[in-house]
Amino acid sequence: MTSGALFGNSSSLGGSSGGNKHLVEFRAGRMTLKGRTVHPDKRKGLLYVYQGEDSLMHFCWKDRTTGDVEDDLLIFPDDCEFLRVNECTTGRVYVLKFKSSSKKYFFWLQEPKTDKDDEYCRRINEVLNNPPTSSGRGSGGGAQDGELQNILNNMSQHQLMQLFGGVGQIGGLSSLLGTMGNSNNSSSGGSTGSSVRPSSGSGANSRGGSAPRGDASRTPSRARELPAPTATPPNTATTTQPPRSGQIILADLQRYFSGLGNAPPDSEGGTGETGGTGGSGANAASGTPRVDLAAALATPESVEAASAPAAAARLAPHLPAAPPNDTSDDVRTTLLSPQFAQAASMFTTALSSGQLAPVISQFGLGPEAVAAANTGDMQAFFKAIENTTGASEGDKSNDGKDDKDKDGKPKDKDNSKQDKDGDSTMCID
Amino acid sequence: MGSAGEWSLIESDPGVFTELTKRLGATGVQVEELWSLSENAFETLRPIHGLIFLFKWVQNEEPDGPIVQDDRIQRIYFAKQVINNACATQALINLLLNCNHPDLNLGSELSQLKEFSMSFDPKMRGLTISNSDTIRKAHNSVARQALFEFDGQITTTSDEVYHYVGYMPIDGRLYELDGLREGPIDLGPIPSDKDWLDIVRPVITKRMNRYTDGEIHFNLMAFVADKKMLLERQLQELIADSDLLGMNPSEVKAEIPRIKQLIEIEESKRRRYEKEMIRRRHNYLPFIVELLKILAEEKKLMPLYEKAKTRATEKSAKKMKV
Repeated sequence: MTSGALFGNSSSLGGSSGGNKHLVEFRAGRMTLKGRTVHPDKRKGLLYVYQGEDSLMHFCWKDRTTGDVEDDLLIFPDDCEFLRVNECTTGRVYVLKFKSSSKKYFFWLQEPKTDKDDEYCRRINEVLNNPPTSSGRGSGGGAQDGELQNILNNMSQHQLMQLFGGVGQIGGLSSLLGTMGNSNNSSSGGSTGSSVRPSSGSGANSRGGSAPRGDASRTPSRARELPAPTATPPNTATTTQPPRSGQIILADLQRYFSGLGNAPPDSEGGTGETGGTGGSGANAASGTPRVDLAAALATPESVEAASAPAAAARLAPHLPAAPPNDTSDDVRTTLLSPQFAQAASMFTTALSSGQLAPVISQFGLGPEAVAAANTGDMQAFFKAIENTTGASEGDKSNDGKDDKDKDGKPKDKDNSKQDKDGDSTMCID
Repeated sequence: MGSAGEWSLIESDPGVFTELTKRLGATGVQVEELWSLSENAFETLRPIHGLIFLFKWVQNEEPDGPIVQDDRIQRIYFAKQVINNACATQALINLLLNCNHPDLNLGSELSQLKEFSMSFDPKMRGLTISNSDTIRKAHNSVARQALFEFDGQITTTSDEVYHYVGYMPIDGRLYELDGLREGPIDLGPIPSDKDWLDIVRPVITKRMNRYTDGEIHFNLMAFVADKKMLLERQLQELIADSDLLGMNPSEVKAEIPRIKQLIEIEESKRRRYEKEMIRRRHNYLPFIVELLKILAEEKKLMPLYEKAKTRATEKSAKKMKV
């Protein structure tokens, strides 16, 4: 029922850039300097640069919710710099500084992925200081792709807050504010910025507003990112400077954050958004594109291999139970079912975050596989399985070890028990 | 498993909700998806006891009408939402317990709940629901099976937490039941010569438009009478009393197979729901591992992986191209 989310290019809303294409744009919020402290403005915004008819560069900020353009600054080449504020180890805070004046504008990035942060920063500087000739349209910093927009448009305040940094990381920001408050200078050598990986919001429902049932899409997790840990992001350096006027600011911030955190119910349950168990997936941290295991296992090659009599016989005990008066799904149906796709996707997530390791050891795949599972490296994991099964074909891996799954229930009984027992087969204990 | 009070996320799927109502003990009703608000769409689903509007939660919006705080609270079963993950169940219960249609049989659990908590305020009612082991177990029994212990945090798109709002006619007025509000929202009277669906249609349409503009995903479901039950009843009446219905034999002859066919459609839908539920509750981890082993033994695993990786890289490269 909903249209695919289209990120409102300002020109389509009419007016603010006079139909000029945005050379760079990204989601960012403002921060307001009040006296000696900087306060984040919670509103979702868009920071963009366009070249006006006058050939001058316009640096703008717009409120994404109301569409109001609140900043439209004329920039002369070589007059300004857009820099990351390194003291802030958590939120991705940037400042626009001027040579011709002491005015500073602070922003905090609202893009869910951090992988383009540096690129945006570089492009803004380039475009502001090397304006394209009027015939050119610059490096096309146009609208982001539809999927990402989908995700972002559905981000709740809580998720945006995670972008900015969870409560445990306030220390870094307050240290920043303490510093800035005193010296009015944002770049006093601090710790390196961390890359807090935000949760990706609720994931793009690429089928539009239809009930997100399994059967409508084969790879429902296509756009879903690895959930980000909130409590322990990787690379967060502890604050190097104790906050100076820190205490008061900290309290302000905490109040601000707790206000944000109250809003939506969708991320409080601790499900999905906050994959809390220390998931520092190699996948997400290095920006490796996520491999679609579900699709790989459903390719004709895989289906054929799995359906061959010997293989099918081995897989049979692990198929879902048959409903009364009907047959159970066969191997092929299973591989093509949306529920299997979801399971494969969860497997991928669990593997990439290292959570699968303890379970894997129960399956008799060998120490190499367990080690790989610990690192979350799917390639190494698969290689390890190949090595292990190659070495002792059918002997190590078919040991009685894989007859039981983690909760100790023998597998063939497991299936028929599941739908009778209410939640007794839920998360096992 | 009983980590006390854990409620899993469930899919917002009509099959799941229909099964949930059954597991809560209610009979005579089911939940269907609505693709439009047209009269046609409604026609095949009547009688419609209530509508469920679901959407990803949004900032506090102004309610569309005044919140009921007078003594109607005593007669309208409204429970405040206490547990986020339980929102679908809570919304369903709000609808079920307000439905007085003769076809609906609440069953012992829900009848007891109603009797017990009817005199409570909305918050207490919500607490009662969330403290109910039976209700919680029924809810969890339609959730997806975890792959293994601790993976309760891994979810996929179909588990997204939606917020559910019910619309229902009660005692001649239209109400919106939103568990996050303080009470039911009074949307006005339903004139006695009008169908409540005609009154609710503009309300929901307005909401849908608002959400479409804000690009917020939503969906609509209908809480209806058990279709198979209705059809079978129709069939009986037809066979028994065709004279009374004023139909001639040839009309009856045509009608019977038609109804039988509709019954068959309902039955196949239920079989499909059942299969989906079995799959949903099935732990695919052993299957996946065994499959990986098989592919590895045949030296097919790495090539498959490499291909998938290439596809993934190509895809993301396309995205980077601005």
